Amino acid sequence: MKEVSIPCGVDLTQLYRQEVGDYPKFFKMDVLSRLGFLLTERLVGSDENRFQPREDRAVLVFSREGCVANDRNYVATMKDFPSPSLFVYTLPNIVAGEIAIRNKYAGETSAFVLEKYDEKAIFELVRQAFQDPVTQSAVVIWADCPSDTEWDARGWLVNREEL
Amino acid sequence: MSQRVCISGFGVVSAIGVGWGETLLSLKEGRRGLASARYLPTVHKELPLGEVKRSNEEMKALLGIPESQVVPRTSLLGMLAVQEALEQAGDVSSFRPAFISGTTVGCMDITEQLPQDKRNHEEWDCGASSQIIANHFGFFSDVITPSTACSSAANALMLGARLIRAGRCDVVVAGGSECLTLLHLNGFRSLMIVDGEPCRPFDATRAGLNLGEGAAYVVLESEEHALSRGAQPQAYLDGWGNACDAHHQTASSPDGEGAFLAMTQALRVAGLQPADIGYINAHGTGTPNNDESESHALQRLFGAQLPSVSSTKGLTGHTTSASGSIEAVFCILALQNGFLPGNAGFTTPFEGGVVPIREAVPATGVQHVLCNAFGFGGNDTSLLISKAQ
Repeated sequence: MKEVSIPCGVDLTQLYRQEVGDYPKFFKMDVLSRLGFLLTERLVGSDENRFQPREDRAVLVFSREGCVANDRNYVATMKDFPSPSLFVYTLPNIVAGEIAIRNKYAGETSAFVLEKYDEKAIFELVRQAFQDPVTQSAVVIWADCPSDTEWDARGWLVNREEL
Repeated sequence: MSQRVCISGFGVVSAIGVGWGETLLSLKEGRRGLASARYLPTVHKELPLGEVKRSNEEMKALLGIPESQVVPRTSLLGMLAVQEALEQAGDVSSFRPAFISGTTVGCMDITEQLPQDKRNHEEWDCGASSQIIANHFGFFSDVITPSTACSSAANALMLGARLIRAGRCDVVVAGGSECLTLLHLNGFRSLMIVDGEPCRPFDATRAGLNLGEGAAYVVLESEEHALSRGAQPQAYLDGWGNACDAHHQTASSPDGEGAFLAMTQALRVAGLQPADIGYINAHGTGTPNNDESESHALQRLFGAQLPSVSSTKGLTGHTTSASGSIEAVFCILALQNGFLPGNAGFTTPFEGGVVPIREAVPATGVQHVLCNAFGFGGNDTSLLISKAQ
């Protein structure tokens, strides 16, 4: 099982420029989506035939605080005119959609809010996703960011036979 | 050993009724629950909303909660629906059920009432609204909050069914709850997909959705488990599928790829063919994009043999995260009572669109139905529900 993380405080824009660079939609993303996106780049960047559309890979996202950092940014715009581009990211599952769009994954996607970081609970829920016989692997993200500058971000690439 | 997943109890609260009795009457008579805001403190009085016709104080009285206690509206709606589901299922407390409750808004109504500097997101985070519901009943083991926008509750049912089928839980209470908030009313308006008139799903003149609120929960267990404790299966959850449309964060692909894949998977899990399906409760939000995309997905899957279709969002408004479980309960009521609910607001088909049934019609022979719920992020879920004999 491949495991990656992004230490809190890293400059995400710089990391994007160093490790990706060809996906300007990154700049529209909120911090949660940026973290999920960059973790996934590290997990699947070396995949063969990476951008071939596939249904056999799930994207499962877990956090405690969801997208609260972006929620606050969006609420600040409501005084004037609510920002549609920030509203989009007031959903904690948008990061899963961003990962699926980037990588052309049409498999299962999900997002869960947990009381705390709990690897046992995360992998129990990952196991249930593999009940679908189509699912052969899963990008699993724990990204919790109480603000735009504080986070705990880890990712795993899990294959069916590793569970 | 039978691992068929049965629904042994259900409860529902929406703009067309508190409890399934009132809901059934509204569905049969096509009563629309859309009206100007009465409980949400919005300035947009011109917009039709599907509010649950109870104040927080009235709901607290029904639940035996002191009026002074601060409880999110999402939790109050959820408690009413869970209570009804548990009453029907009989006492399941000794099985320590898991509680899986989909929501996205969570406690947002509470934080919106607090001044900006007093907003405590740790106390009132998204998962807290589920925990508050669970604590009210006091016997749930694990509490899980799927948060996948408008497919959240449908995904809660899917996860619950998987946990039962895998033998990980004896009993699961699954569903979702969502109250209206200023945050998402303004957000949906900013995306220009809210209609100022009552919505018209699948109609040529459709111009967007109306937001609604509500909650619904089902008690899930294996058929064998239900029968062994003397409970009566009300319906079966035989299939489920989730797929990603992988097209755009807030728009569906023109050919409805994600919807097509989700429905195909639900059929495969149930071991059924398209011809076995007698009705589809469509996601049918009334936005130009959703209804066109979903029409194409339905036509791809069913071809010329498309069964009866309707969207019930013209009655309830779009109850967002709760829509998947609310509409699943509508499907159970339809199967049990031999009718199909109508598609309020529809008069004229659009080119290439499905033609839904306008008004409730009797239908006694339907054995299996699909219930669709699609969320932003391309998160598409379809549930396959079967009649209990």
